[in-house]
Amino acid sequence: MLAFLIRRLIGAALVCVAVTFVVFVIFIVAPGGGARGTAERIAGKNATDQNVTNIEHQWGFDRPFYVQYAKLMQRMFTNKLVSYTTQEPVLSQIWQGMPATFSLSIGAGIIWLFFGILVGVISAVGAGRWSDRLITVLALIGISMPVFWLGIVTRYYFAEQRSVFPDGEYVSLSSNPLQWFYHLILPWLVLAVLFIGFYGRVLRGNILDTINEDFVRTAKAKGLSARRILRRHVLRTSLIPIVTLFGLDFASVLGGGAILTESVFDLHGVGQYAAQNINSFDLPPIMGVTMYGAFFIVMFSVIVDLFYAYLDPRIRPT
Amino acid sequence: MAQRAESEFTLDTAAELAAVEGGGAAIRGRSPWYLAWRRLRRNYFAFAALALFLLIVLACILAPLYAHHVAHSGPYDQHVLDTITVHGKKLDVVSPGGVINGKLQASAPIGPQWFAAGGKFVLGADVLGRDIAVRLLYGGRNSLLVGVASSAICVFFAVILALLAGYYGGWIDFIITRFFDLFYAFPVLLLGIALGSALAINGFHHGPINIQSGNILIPLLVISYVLIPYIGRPLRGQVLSLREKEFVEASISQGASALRVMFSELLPNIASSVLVFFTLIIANNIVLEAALSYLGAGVQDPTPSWGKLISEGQQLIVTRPALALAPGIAIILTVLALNIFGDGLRDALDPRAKVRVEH
Amino acid sequence: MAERLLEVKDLSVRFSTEDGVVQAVSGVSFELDRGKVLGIVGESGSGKSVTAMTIMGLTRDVNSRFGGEVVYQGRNLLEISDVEMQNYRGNEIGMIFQDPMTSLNPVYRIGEQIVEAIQAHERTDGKSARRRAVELLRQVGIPNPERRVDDFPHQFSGGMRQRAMIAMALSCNPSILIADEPTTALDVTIQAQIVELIAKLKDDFNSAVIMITHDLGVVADIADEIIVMYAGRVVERAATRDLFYDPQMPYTWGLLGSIPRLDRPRPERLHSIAGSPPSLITLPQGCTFRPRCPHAFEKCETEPALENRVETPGHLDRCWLGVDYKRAHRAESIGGETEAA
Repeated sequence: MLAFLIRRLIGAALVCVAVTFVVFVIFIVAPGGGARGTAERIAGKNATDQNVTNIEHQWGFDRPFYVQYAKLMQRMFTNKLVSYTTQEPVLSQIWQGMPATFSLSIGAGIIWLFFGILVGVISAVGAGRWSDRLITVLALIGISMPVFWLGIVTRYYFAEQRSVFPDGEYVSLSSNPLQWFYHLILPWLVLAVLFIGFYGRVLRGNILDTINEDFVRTAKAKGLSARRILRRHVLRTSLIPIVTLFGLDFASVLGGGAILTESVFDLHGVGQYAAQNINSFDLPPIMGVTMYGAFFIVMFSVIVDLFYAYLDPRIRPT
Repeated sequence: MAQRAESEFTLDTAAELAAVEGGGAAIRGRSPWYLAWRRLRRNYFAFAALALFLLIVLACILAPLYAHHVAHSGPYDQHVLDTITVHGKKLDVVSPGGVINGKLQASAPIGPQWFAAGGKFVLGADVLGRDIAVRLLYGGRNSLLVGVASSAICVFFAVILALLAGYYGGWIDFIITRFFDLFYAFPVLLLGIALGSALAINGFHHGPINIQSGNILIPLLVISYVLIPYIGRPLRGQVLSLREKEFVEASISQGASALRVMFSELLPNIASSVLVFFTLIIANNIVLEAALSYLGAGVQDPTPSWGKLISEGQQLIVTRPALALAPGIAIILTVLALNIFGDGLRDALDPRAKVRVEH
Repeated sequence: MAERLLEVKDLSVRFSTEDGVVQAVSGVSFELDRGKVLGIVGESGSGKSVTAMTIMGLTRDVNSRFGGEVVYQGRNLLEISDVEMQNYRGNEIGMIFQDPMTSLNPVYRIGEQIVEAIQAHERTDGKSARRRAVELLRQVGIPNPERRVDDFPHQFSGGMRQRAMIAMALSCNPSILIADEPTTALDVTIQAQIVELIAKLKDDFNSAVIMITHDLGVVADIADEIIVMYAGRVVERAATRDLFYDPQMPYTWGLLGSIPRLDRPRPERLHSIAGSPPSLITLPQGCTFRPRCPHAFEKCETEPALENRVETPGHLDRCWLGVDYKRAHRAESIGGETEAA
């Protein structure tokens, strides 16, 4: 087992290195435009010609690829990556945004996992009946709604027009726990809706598949009660893919993938930080957040792999 | 109970009965596509959804007709200083605001007129005096174009990569899988934003290919690209398991070339998955394009798209909710229709646990 | 006088599907006494598995309809609720299935699954249940049971998995063991071992066995009585010896003829029954085997009843042909000289 873990960690480290390379390619290489064009891109909207020339030298765009890459890595990891539009270091900004992003992600994650499983089980157990059809339609509507639109509409109806909920903004946990909770309810629910619908349907499908498996038939032949069969045989197997999905989705949200919800509710998390800089076409912050997000996913996929091996003995290395 | 059930034969069985006079007919073979089509045919819900989707597509295709004959305004025409006549009264398209009746009022564009103004500003106007309904339809054109085209490209490349990886195995598979894994590491939205914003500033300039910044091709290509691993990986898994089946070995031992095996043996067997993926990815890409455009990393000004319209309407959500609500509802209906149809398609192609059969 | 454990009377099972109503089983009757082995033989689709699963109540569904009776120790199992049926499953009647790899839950240890079976019906604590599981594994011939009881199914070989399944099925001392094609998924060398094991355990546990298979060779040794099923009906029923030495159904001849044999004087092609089984939705009129029978004549347009037509009283068949005709001509069908029509 230890060898497995070490191998996975080494693999993850390699992926992280590759990720940095991909970020480099996306932002520096792919759009093209030569040394000048690239410097213009990085320098942002408000740059003067002198700024652009400085950047061209500092970042090494007139030098070969590997030099550019090396310089980029150096900037990134020594917190010298700076947004030229706002003059603020990217890493510090990301660090400041993390509490909000974490609060949003963890809360929403708990909600969507719990309700997603509940919805999946209820609709599977009542398969074919009206309860199942109703849940399926609701789940489909949930998946079909753009999350940012839902956020805008709920914020408008519940927080602007009427004051059922506070109108956006994030209150840190340490300063006022009650307000922290109150401000997060609406974003939590909005972010969770899409996932609940999706997870519910995936689980429903898995359960219906598992019910037809031979070992479930054996369990029935042993004389086990329906409840026990559902719990110990059907769910145990059907939930395994859900675990993998959740691990990756959660990592994605934690890593800034909840950009839309954060932006709509003005939570000033990591995602919103990236979003703010899109309109001003300020690339360094976006670069930073992209790498940060990727690292989270790589880390979590190792955790998920380990958990998976725990759940399914067949893939454990003997 | 038993009597009633026995008398309910489907049309095909009755025909079968008639064809063989009293003798026992052997079980007739049917192609899985035919069986799937029969199952799909009975799913009225899915067909209604497909009809809805096609209706929306049609409405968007006819956008120029609407703009010309009904609204008398193009998607880029600004009517900030114009007035229109409603029930005999003259109204400003965009009211100037200021102090009115002692109260400070903001400048507000006109609200939904429905058909009171003879077809103009059916859903109202935006801050620049543009007709929302017209922009909604033109925006739909762009959103649907990006959604459908990007899905086609994405599925195309995913299939090719999956076939290559699954058939050849070895180091080709290794490289392709690493490629997939690498992009799996990025949250889809972030990747789309990264690519979208990087390319939106100056466009794409490499060698002979020069795509300018505002071109709709950019978001289209970005969205095509980001989901390739998500389709490619499951398809590769299927190809790998198919590869082990005897009919593939048989084909190879008969001297079939790699190309032939891939396209005659492997591809038809993943076709049903590809079809379902394609439908569901269109739905996903429409939402993805909306998200990217909302954030500013997708379709650029002044080109309309549903996501863009939502961001434009966000400021006025309190006074003129229609601006943000209309494109959102359009997205929901389109994506819902696609999801329902895709679901029905998947059920028809791969039926699972028996659900109630009425009798 | 052996104790009568099970009586199946005129059992019929119908499934509604999107293609029509499938008549999976009709008019099946047999009895099972303690200590006896009943073999049920037939092709795929003959209804043999459906019959067995119906006895266990595993075919209950929205779309299924039952007729007749399945009487176990005085109670008609078709009429009791599913919750009550759980008391019989595993406890009074145990069942093992064809593919032991997919029939065992891959994420739980073998010992855990056997203990689960025991604790479903008896009040025992974990320790004693586990000890019993080890003993059961020893009884079915698994070496090193104390260690292997904690293994996962994928760590066992095919034959050992099936042994473990048998152990699990017998863990609560059921009176009847139903074995549905227990050897089909196993190597030929293992097949004989499993069949022997079942016979031995039947004596050890003083139970009865229903052995379902498509292979007459498998039941030849251990069955006391054999039922041949075709298209959902019983077409012949006899004591094993009578079936092999005086078969009355052309279908049975076909089955016997298709067994590869080493004692033939000269090499010949393997004999098979021409045609394929009929659709269970649109059954042929008259004798269900008529379209494939080389000896069919006009009377076969009416379905024969299952009757005793030979001297031995327990030997029933569904064939209009005269007994002398059969005895004269069956050697051809079994030996393969006449190619089937």
